[in-house]
Amino acid sequence: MNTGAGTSISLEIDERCAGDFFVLLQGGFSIASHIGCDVMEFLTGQCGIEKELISKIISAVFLDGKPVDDLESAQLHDGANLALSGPLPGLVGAVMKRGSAYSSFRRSISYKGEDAVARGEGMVTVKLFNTLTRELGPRFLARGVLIPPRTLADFLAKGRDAIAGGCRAISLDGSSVSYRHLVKRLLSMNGLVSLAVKPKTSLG
Amino acid sequence: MDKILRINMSAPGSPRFTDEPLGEYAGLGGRGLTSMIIAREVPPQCHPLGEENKLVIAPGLLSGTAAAMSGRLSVGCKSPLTGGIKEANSGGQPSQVLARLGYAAIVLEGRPSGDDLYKVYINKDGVKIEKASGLKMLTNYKVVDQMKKEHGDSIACISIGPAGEMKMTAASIACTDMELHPSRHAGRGGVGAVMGSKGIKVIVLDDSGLKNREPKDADKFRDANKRFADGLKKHPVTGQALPSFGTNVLANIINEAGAYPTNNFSLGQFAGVSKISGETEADLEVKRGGVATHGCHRGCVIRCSGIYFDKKGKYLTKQPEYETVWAHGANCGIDDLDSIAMLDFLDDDFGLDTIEMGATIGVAMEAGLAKFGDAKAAIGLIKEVGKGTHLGRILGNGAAFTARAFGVERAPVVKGQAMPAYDPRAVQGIGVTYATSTMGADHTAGYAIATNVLKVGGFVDPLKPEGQIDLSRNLQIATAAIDATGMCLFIAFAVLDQPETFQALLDLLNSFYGLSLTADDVTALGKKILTAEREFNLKAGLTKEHDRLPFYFMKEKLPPHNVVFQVSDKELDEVFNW
Repeated sequence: MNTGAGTSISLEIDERCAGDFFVLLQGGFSIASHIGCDVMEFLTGQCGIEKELISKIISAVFLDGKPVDDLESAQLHDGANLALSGPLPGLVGAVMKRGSAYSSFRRSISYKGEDAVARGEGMVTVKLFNTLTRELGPRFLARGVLIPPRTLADFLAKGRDAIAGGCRAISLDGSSVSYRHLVKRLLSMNGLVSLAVKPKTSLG
Repeated sequence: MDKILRINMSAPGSPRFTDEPLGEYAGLGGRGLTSMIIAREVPPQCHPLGEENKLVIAPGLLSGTAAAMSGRLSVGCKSPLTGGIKEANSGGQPSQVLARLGYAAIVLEGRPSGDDLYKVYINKDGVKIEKASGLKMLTNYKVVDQMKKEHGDSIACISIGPAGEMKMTAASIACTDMELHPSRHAGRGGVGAVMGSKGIKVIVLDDSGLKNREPKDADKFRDANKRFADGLKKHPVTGQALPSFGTNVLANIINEAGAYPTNNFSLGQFAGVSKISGETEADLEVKRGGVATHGCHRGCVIRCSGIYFDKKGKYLTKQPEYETVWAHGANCGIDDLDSIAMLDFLDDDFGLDTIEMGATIGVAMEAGLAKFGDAKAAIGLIKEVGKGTHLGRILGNGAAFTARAFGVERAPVVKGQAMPAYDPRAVQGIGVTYATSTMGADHTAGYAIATNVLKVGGFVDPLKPEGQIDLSRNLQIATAAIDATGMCLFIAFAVLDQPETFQALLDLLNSFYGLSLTADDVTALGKKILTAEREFNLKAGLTKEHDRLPFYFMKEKLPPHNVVFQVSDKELDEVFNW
């Protein structure tokens, strides 16, 4: 059994198919990261998202399932689970917003600060929800995300007709492989694989 | 829209109808009108299925006009599910058509002496009431197909399915959408059972030859409507999130917060959420040739709905919305969207409230009637309801009834009505609204997040522990007011963040009716409605002791946050102190 560790997959796809990958991001992907930093530092420094953009498009942030109001007071630890969401409908959507006027509705679960985390290296799981899948998804996919091989295999198998038709080049650890071969190989791996998705225009 | 159609089903010989002027009800619409008629005319202690109860169907104040988002229909009665006053709200076409026909309300009164079923047909030439025994036990889709054959495609229908005829307390009233599918429902509180008790199977509305209602000041109205629609389109929630993914965009988020009731409210997170989320649902709909951005009625600019096709690319149902996907999904441990869509279709066809039925199946699964996650069994249980078997009769009477029948403690209900898709242990403020709402557990009772603009009850400090009590009160007041306009509650998002959009809403009402309403007037209307509803409930026997969550919410810790509901009875009792 291949552990999958260090396995790198790169897909070149038609631009029109790029959106097909966005649903994959809601389930979470991992990023090898510095830890002990705060969420704002992680998003700006390690994910390369501009502060203004964060303010504009990221409506809600959950750290280990707890709604975060102040991104600079919440520290990431190894194995942290960070979920990011765009605009939220509904009363409870408004309740979950950062700095919501209705935050008292969720006070029993809000992030209230934890023990300080020592700086170091670790893994952070990131989830992107709703409009953020298309607003931030392309940049995460282009730089590469770590996901369980089984999750990727299921995704590719389920959307085979649409995605396979849009794949122009598939590379597995630098070698060109077929779509079918990739799915088969993924099913024999465990751990995490690195996936990069690069859209190409029809003229490109 | 200056008259009320009253249909007396007890009249000797055959039902009799009269057109009456609005009289003391002038200036009221939607929930304002339904609740005032029920509060003034229905004996609070009557049996909900008895001849003394009335079913009031009322468009909103701006229905039948060119105003955006004005197509919500209110249905009111004494609820057979909660025993208190009820307003259930639906989208679809009937509100607009009924308003254009000139009616501020239809009031069904009395009870027929025999077993005959009736059809009501209303067009510009008048009202006809006919026996329609051939429609007996037909499902909603079949009833509408039959009405299309009889009256053509330029109609809107309000109907009940077999569940309403069997007077089940989970029975809904169906309203047809733009495609003439009976897919929009006044779902909550068993309003379909009350329509069934009146012997009315379907109300067919035809506004052929009629135009939109005309405002008093057309120029100001046009200007206000443009500002209102622009405000909705530019807001990120109403302009982006809802049109792109529908209300089910909340699934991932509520799950992440550990507030997504799973396996009959025993867990706060569902492992299969990404398979049933709004993102996945929209993606699937588009891939199959359906639609992920669609309005439930003409004049909707948010378009949070969609059309769901099956695996073969054939229409199955409208886009199941957040509450439905949760109720039949996570709450029953089911992670297959096609099964959930089928359950949604069956609920619509039999005429059942999707929230109540999802909660009921969850209770049934806990009772051992099926395993959590068994979609096939869930579909089978709903079919039992449609057939009216003995088991189906139990299930069709809702979660509380089913829990009693099978000895299950975990019945997620308040005043007998099933809770929607937010666990009140994780989002305690909404638990306050569930507990104290006049309607029973209802997420929309405190939904209109417009309180900062309306300044209902003054400034509330969200960081104060008691903030959730004040906020719940204010939200309930604002919601009652918006329900009276007939506007979709989703306008509240834009109204909250954009005072100019709230002003545009006021300008719409003022220019249409020649009024000069202010935010204070809107607040006063909300309080008036709630006060009338509370007084009715009190006389009906619903006291503050009924403003409580089931006890297990105070003792069973909800994973992953392991929290219990902590708001005290004393705090809950303060919600309606104004």
